[in-house]
Amino acid sequence: MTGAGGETVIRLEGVETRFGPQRVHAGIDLEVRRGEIFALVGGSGSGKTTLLRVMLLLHRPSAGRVVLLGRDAARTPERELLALRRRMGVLFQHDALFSGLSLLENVMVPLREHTRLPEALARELALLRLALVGLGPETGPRLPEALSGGMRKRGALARALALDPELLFLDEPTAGLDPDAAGAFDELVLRLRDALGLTVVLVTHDLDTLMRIADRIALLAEGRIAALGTREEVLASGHPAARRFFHGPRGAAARERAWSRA
Amino acid sequence: MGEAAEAARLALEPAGEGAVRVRAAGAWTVRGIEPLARAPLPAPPADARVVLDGSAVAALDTAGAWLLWRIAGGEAELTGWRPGFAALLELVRRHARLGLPPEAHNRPGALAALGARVVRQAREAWSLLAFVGAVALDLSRALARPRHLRLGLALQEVQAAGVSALPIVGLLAFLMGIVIAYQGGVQLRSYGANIFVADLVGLSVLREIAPLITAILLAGRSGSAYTAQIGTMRVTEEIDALRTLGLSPLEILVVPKLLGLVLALPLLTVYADALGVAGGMLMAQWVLEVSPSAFVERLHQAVGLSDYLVGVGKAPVFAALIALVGCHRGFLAGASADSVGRQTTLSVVQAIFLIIVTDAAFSVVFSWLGL
Repeated sequence: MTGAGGETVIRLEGVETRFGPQRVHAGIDLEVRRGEIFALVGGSGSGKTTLLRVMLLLHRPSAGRVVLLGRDAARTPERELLALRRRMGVLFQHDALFSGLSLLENVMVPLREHTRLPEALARELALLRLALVGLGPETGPRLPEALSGGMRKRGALARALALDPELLFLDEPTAGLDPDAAGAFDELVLRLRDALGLTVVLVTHDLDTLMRIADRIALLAEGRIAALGTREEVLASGHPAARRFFHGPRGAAARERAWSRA
Repeated sequence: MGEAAEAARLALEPAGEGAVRVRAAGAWTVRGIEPLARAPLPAPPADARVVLDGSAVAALDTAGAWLLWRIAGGEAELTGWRPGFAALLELVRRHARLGLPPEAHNRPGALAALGARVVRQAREAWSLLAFVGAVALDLSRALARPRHLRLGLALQEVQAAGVSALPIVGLLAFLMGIVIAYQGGVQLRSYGANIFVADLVGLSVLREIAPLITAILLAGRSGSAYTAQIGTMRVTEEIDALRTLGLSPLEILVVPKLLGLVLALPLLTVYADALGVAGGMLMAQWVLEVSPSAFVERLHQAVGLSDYLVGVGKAPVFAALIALVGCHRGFLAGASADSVGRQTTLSVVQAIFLIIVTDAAFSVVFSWLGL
């Protein structure tokens, strides 16, 4: 519980989102504190990814306030939002590596565009990012299509870390990974959080990931936050959505695995 | 971390007994180190013991830590660092010891590049031939069992490639007719041979302009769409899905397009013939005072059935070229968005190139045959 009591880095107040007549979020309030790993969970179509996109300023909510690192997103001019975005790193669900660039060049894109570091140093820093996520320098020159899914995820994480962000957003980081790779990815996120002091917001379906790394969990159901708190608090909340989500056979197994590892 | 606008600063001072104190200050972050990193880095003497003093460091991230290790040379005693910063330095040092290899600048020479290009072109030509063969096999199989012909899909292609191209093909053919009548008519008038504008427009439009313009337009309009569609389907593994469902991608994706285009292009060409001649006729009346009735009468004498058939007869060949090249390029696309774009460009360029080369070959053959 590294983040308990830390300063607030993301605050959502009464966020509502609509797609045409369909209301995805009906007033969401939540706070993410510095240094914690905050998980958004919920069934398919509960608007987790949309809420993540709201936090990333990729989707403008139809009502409510989004305060990121102390700035109200709606009242901040676009130029300053750009500076704000540089302090956030994102790992998209389908890695979103630029397919025409090698892995190393992918990691170098933000360094090249947003800093005026010499090329050689930018290359070294990109290689360092790859090393931090556990990829050797030999993977650098390879194109994304020549890498396995797990390596692409790690590569995308390296790109998200390129500018040493304060905020890291992960959308389904372990989806499509085998249990071994998913477990290793969880450990990687924990280690990077501890070493770099990151605040991590993640959307996941993976109960193992949730049990292993999340400090606090927000459970979305019917457009609202059904339960919010530590694992134990959400488990104990007794909300029907929480029961369905955690107390199925898969949830029970994941819980046991997490306890035995902890 | 925070928003430390302060830049990173650095001072080297002797610390006795052959030691050098590297005193870091300010924000050692990816933005803070920019000014330092752009100048030559100071280096302590190679044999000196380095003491890294971080008591005045306001912010540190992995980029700053990396630069500090670069300056200190990978080994140093740490003093005055906050615990969090010291942990970060330690983490980065572990990876600094990996010794990152220099980039292998592996640019091939001009001769090697030329060779690679020739080999690639030859491979692509070979694979196009193989593709034509495979499509021919699937087509013959489909002709034997009409259920596999998928006439519905083929008619959709006629709609997409033919009917919806009517406005643009018609407009361009009409304008070409106007241009030819005007450019040629000015010359004819100076010889008092105004009426021969009908020969000029009739022969050039029917034999060359209408089939070429239509084919080139469709290469850009439909050929590119075929490549993009099939290429994207490869990226999203839809082609593989078809194969595993026991369906032939060629039968479902290529044969209907081929049939549809072979049907649509000659019809479009006839339409372009009519509008091209109409454009010429309009200009003939306007600039050369040749009345429409005189123009049509002269056209009747000047242009034979064989001229019309030569033009329209080329269209199915062009259509087959466009469909085959477009689909083949789609199948050549790799698993990336980039390669779909590249193949789409190549598909249009190659189709237009082949159309014009084939047209030239037709001209030679027809002149041998005396058509």
